[in-house]
Amino acid sequence: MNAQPDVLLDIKNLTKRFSKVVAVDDVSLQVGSGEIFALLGPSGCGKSTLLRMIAGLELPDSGDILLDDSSIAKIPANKRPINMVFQSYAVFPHMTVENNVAYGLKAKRVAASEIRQQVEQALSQVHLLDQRDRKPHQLSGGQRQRVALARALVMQPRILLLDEPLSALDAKLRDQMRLELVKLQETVGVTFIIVTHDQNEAMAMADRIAVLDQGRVRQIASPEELYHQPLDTFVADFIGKINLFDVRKVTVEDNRVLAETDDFGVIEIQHVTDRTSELLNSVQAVVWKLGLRPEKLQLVANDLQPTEDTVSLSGELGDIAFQGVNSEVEIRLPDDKSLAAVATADDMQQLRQLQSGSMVNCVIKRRDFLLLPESADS
Amino acid sequence: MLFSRNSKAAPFDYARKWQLKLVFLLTTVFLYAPIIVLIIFSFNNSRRGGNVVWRGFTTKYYEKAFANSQLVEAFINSLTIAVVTTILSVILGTMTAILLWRFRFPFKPAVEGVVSLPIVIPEICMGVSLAMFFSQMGWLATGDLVWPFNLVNITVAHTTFAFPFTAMVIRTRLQSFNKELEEAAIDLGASTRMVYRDIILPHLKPGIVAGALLAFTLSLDDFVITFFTSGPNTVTFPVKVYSMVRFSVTPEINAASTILIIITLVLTALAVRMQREPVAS
Ligand SMILES: Nc1ncnc2c1ncn2[C@@H]1O[C@H](COP(=O)(O)OP(=O)(O)O)[C@@H](O)[C@H]1O
Ligand SMILES: [Mg+2]
Repeated sequence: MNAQPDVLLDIKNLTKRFSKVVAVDDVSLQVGSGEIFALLGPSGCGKSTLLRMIAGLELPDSGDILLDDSSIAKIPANKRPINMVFQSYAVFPHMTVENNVAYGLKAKRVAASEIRQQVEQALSQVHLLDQRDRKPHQLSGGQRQRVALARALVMQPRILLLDEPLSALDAKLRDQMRLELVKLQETVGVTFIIVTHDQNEAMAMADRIAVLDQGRVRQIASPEELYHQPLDTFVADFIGKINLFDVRKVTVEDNRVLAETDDFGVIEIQHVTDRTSELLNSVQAVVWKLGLRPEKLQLVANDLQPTEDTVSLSGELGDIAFQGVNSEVEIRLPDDKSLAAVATADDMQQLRQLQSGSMVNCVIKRRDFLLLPESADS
Repeated sequence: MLFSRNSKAAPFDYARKWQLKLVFLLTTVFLYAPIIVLIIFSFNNSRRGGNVVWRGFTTKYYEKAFANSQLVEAFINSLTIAVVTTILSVILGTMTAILLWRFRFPFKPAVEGVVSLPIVIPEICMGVSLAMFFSQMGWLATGDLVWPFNLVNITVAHTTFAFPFTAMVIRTRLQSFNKELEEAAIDLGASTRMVYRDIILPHLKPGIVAGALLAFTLSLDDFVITFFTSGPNTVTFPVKVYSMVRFSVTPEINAASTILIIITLVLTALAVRMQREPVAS
């Protein structure tokens, strides 16, 4: 994990219970100054609750929140230099766009002339200057979101919190807004914390991502690291697709980690994560899996022989889902398991000749296998 | 065939069937004809208001009504009571609604039940109990006090039965309040007071207007409870009209009633206009 040199927000062992539900369970994480940090996880995993605790709208049961090394846990929401864009946008319906954006400055008793100037600047940042006199019901969903953005940004917060900012937009607008948000962040330089359940969104926007499940942090890493070195099966499965194979036994010989499998014999693991070595050194009983990303399954002509560095696999051709440049191909193994593979445009040329159910061969490089502990409760 | 015809029915098709048209017509006639007749005959140049023979147009009964100092006094009393009742009901009703919406406290369901009790209790029972209450307190004698203090007990009685309606209307409006609006305001630095002033009250405005109108009309035309709680020397418009009708029905009463109808209509129109603000979150 690459610890940020310039820590802005430091969350320490934060826990929040709602009667019996532990919404946020002993979460610790650090957010660096000027980055886009994503909280990613399935619905109900406690993302919003964590965000609301940062905003001060929810009080933690235990733990601490430090901003610039001083605790803000006891500072009420209306005094924190942190602002939020709500999931419903929460634009004030009876105020014009301009008054919405001016609201926070008025609450802060900023001089009227200054308010006018700052509101103007914020509105131009989100391209809403010409809509300033409109009421929210005259705006589209995307425009309302921009009002919510401008309203928060005009406060010049240390951190901007965004709760599922794109979930209410339609697909096309979502892609556009995704880019715009990243650009906006670059211009204003404010640290963004974005909550999302959509891994594509998190991967595309964030500098770093915390993957949450059932109130706990599973892994905090950059999008690349999450994809290529997931810490467990939950993260591997949540971040993109992964094929999982059973592992009979994992042994360590002269610092080499060897996984015994039914499908491929003994595989030596190249990338051993810290977590894996930790688990291998502990006495804890762990269920291990071998993971393989679909694009690492190379479809080959029937007669190719496996080399020392590769293993091979054959199965029936299943469904093919065309996805533009690449297509996702299903391969059914004899034991009724099915694997996902990625076929390039060239592969598709050949695959088109084949019928569903014909045998196809795949080659896998030994070093592409990931050794993953099965996550305890998923 | 029958089904296919039904399935093609457009929203206002029911109005095309003559039976339904007839029902609609009769309903309208029975509802509004008496009122229209009342208004027309306030201009009838006849000595008796119940006289159904048109004897020419006149406005002299309006002049007469305005010249009848007792009637004018009753009218002013009624308006005063209604205005004060409305103000009190809106304040109490809004506070009650927010209390029941926002806070959790012991015996909350019981409190809710007690608050809405005046809506279901028969007016006659409320009238009797309030009369007993006021006589115990010695308040029936307030009728001897100087205006407007002679109206205190009637106003208190009206507020007692009107504010639960106001509270109910406002409570309903609160149900549609998006709590994220409140949180957004706090997030932007608003204090609790500012949240109420800038966010919650503007959201409640249509409910408050509707509740105020309800309280006003309930108070203005209340007869039963007023009858029991007014002292011998204070009269309200409905009570005065009742006593005048007992002697004879004169066009003067028609004229006074017409003015009352117009006031109510104007107020309703104003309220509807104030509510026309679009609702969006
Ligand atoms: N105000 C609340 N009262 C009770 N339970 C809550 C409350 N807010 C959230 N929860 C519960 O806490 C868990 C996490 O919720 P949330 O943080 O909203 O998840 P997410 O945003 O990841 O979908 C859920 O099980 C949810 O039901
Ligand atoms: Mg959420």
